[in-house]
Amino acid sequence: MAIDPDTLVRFLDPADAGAQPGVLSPAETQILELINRKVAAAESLDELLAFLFDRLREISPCDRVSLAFVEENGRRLVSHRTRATYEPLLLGNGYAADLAGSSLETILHRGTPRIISDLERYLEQRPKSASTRLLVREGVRSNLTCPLAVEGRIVGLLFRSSRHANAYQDRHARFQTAIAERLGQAVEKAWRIEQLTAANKAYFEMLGFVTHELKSPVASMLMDAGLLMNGYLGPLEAKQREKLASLTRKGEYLLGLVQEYLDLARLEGGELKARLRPDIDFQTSVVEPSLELVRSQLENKRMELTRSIPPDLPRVTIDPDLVKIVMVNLLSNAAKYGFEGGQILLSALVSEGQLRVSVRNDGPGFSASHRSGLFRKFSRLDVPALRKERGTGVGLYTAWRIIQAHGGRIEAKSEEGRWAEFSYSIPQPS
Amino acid sequence: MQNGKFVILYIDDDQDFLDAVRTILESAGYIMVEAQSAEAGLKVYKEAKPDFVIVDLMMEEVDAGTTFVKELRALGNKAPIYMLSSVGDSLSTSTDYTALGLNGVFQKPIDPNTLLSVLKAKLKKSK
Repeated sequence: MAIDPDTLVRFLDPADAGAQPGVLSPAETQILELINRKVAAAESLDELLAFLFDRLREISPCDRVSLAFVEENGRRLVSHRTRATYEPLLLGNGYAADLAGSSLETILHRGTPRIISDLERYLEQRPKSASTRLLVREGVRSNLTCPLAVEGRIVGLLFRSSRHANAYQDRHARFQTAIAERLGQAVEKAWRIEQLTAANKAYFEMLGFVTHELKSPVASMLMDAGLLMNGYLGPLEAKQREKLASLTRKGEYLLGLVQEYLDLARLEGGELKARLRPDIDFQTSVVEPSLELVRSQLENKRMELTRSIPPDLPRVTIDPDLVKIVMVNLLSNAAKYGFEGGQILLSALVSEGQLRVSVRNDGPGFSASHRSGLFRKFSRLDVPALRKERGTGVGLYTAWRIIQAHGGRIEAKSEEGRWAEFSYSIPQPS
Repeated sequence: MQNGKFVILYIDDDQDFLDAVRTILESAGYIMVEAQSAEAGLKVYKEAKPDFVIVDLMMEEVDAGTTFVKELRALGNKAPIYMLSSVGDSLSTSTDYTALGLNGVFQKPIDPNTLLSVLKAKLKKSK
């Protein structure tokens, strides 16, 4: 198309929009090659945009680069990444605008780049454009916008802006189109991963919130049941006691779920880091409080717990709060999945620079084929003998995460039909 | 002590827990005084001069419990202080409760026998 510098808004012809060989300068070609490499290396959106911003400024007018994505089935455009030479950004990340009737809709519709040579004059013509007003207030005078397409579908827009009017010509638009072609797929992929991550995070936050809200009422119900059971509110008949015992078991089951989900929600909510502390007494800091939490479970199944821990067990370097979660999970599993009236053996020792702990229970155990899946999130054993035992499938996953965070190992062994043993080791500083 | 009975101060923002613990304590011959916030707890503490204090550190106001413990220490408190810990607190609650000036921890839901045996042991010692 003919370039008319006085034309306020120009769209490149589709035939012109692609970058033909020879049309680009050597510097532009080099940037494209580097972008190809960065896309292939799956660099993050932030890294890609930072690179693009720095290089574009070297070879062309550029004070601002931003990426926006089409959301809600093409109804809305949301700004996701912006780099600029100045502050403050008035039209920043998260800025969302409906597409219907907007001038950007035309770009999406035509699929070709658009140049606005003077945003101040453009704003005079379109005084209702809130985004233009914000850009003008930022000091932006001209703008070049290219669609980001993936397999013919437009997924977003790539903006480049200058604080000078008439900054962009068709050759800039062609180069930006070439960039957008290379970025489209990478950008969409990165964006989808971001969306999934955000959805996952929101899910765990909600899980944490809901379980947190359940915690107190369930604990209160159990406490009242305990009062009734212990005769504080008058004597009970055998049948009433039986019902109460059943209520209590269900309440304890609920509280166990709450515990596991809260632990998981916390672990998933942020990067799990073990705050290692030296000189921890494993017995009093981990074993005793953990046993306290599973005591009623053991009593309910008339299980006998034996400890094999040397009285002179050296003090250890661990995150006691996290390791307690592992201990409670393993002991609680042993109680849940062990034979009624069976034995549980809890051993701990420090040898060869490792704290080694194991929990072994008499019980149906698991087959070798089930073993590797035990520590996966939401994994549940499909063993006929254990089918009535429900669980979240997160306890062992949580334990695995925690032991990983300590640089240790957690393992499971079993002789099917007889016993199961879970053990972990945590390296100790020499 | 009041009329030869030990006085226990229990602070929790959940009335159901306050009621349940009161039932246990009174049946065992203790006097229980209560409060639903750290601020009110401090007032009751000064009036009732309890022999033993139980406080839920995870009350709705952030840090209300821990601040309360610090204030008791500043008042020259000699009574044992036990905190309550709920399931799922395990990551946010330090196991090093002695550093907070606490003498021990009760798990919620509180087991009546554990509660009474701790009281018996601690209060006999301090007599």
